[in-house]
Amino acid sequence: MLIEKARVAYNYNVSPGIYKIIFDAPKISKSAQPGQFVMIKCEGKQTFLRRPLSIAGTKSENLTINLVIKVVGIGTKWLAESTFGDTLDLLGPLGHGYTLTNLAGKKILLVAGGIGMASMIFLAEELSRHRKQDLKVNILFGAKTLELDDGNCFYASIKNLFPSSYREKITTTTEDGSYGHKGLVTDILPSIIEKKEINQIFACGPKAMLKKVAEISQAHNVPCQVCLEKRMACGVGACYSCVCRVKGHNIRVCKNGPVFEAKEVDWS
Amino acid sequence: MTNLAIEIAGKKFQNPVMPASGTFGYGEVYTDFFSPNELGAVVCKTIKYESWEGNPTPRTCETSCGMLNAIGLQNVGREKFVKEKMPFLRQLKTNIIVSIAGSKIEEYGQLAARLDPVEGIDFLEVNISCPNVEAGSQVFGTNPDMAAAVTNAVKNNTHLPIIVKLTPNVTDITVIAKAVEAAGADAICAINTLLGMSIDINTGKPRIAKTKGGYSGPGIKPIAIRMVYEIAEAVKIPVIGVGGIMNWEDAVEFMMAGATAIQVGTATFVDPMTMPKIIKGLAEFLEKQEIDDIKKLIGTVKT
Repeated sequence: MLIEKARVAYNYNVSPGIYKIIFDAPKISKSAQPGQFVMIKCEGKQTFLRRPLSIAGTKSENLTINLVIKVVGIGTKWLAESTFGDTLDLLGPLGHGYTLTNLAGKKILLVAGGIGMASMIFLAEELSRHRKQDLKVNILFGAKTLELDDGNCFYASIKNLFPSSYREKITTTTEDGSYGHKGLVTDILPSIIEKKEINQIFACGPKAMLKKVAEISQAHNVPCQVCLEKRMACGVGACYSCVCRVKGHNIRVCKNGPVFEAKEVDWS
Repeated sequence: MTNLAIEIAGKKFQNPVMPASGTFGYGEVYTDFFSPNELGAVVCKTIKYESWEGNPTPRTCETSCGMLNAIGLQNVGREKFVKEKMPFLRQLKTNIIVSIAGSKIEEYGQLAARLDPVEGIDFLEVNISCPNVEAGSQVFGTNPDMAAAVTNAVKNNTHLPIIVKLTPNVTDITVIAKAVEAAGADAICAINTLLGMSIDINTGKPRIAKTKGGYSGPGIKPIAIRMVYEIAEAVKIPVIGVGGIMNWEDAVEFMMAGATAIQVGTATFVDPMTMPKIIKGLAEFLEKQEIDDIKKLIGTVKT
């Protein structure tokens, strides 16, 4: 991990409240792995602590990292307002990402809930670079809605965040039925696992979703890795703010995670 | 060349800058950024006699000018600390200060006795001021008799010099400071966090699970400066100043108020390089002011 002054190369409003920001960050981009995150110093008037954000992809050829963020508070609002040429203070890459060993020949399902898609986009990119391993990758994406105020659907702009080779492999659910299946990702997860004979799951999203994904994957005897989100202060393992229960102990999400084996997490 | 070295209880510190306990792990966390050997000392996260899982989450939240925390002294306990954390700390060339806490007075004594023969420890910092645990800690720091009793219990069980860390959540901190000095404290560290609270107005719920937590960050600096000043006036033993230090200017302010050394906590979360930057800033300041020895800053406030 290191501190890098990174220049904003691109900031694009993907859909209401969702932004894709590309940073020139040669050092972080070199070592970042899917599931890892950065802590960004937000210089807004009211912010004090850094904000943890999943890395949503890297480009080795131009040494950039991508973030896909959702505006939820004063820190992310400030970040969303950054523009081309701004220099931001990034700390990263942090944490322990997805374990991608022994995947050859696997039928993989990526489950993304809402802005949990950020780390899944990076993971999809990484898996698409593993073509030789004969992977079958499917994506299950869930959102509250995909409808704009004017009634138009913004599914296409979300879909385009994923690598082109997997865009036709996305199954979508929305809670309001505005696109895809009406309901939650976990409503159709069991049938997808069975139909596609899935034998490895990766999931990122709200805790309630991850808990259900963990239950379903365990019931189907499919290994599942989950990427957890927890409020953080330091992001590097010093403060013990972000703990979760894993194998009966309070473990730091920022240092020992954010990715864990779903069956090892105490979901209660 | 300016001299940044200071002395506490006969031990030399190459500079007066060290981390606040609970913000630097067991010395290993920030090694990607700088070597702990650059610091005047490493102060470990507080350990207790038995390991402890700490409080439920959310444990922290941001506030104006700082943050609240109620971590609850999650720690590995004495044996794991000695076995797993000391080997790294022992090979460091700087002073090692081990922060300790207990739920009962006897527990402080037992823990001090266990750590006394452990090679590589230079000081014990006695935490009688954590606001986030039910059974004690802060309660010892708010009553002069109890504060003295804990100091005594530790002092009687170790040959190591001891620093007693005080809570600001009292009416008159000098009463506690004098009590621990009389009981044998070699130095005082002040201040721990201020008890605070924050509510999410959308849910109507407190923003941390324990409702109340310790407030730290630049917002508490004026209070910490005032208390360091009061303690330095009231006792003869050295004071280590802590509370909201973000940069070298803040460090100078604490030393002028009477601090012999300073600790940096929350600022490291925002910028991991805060402490090395402070050391550099102090050296440059002294040079510019043509002060040959940093000790000449201590308590120089003109009132």
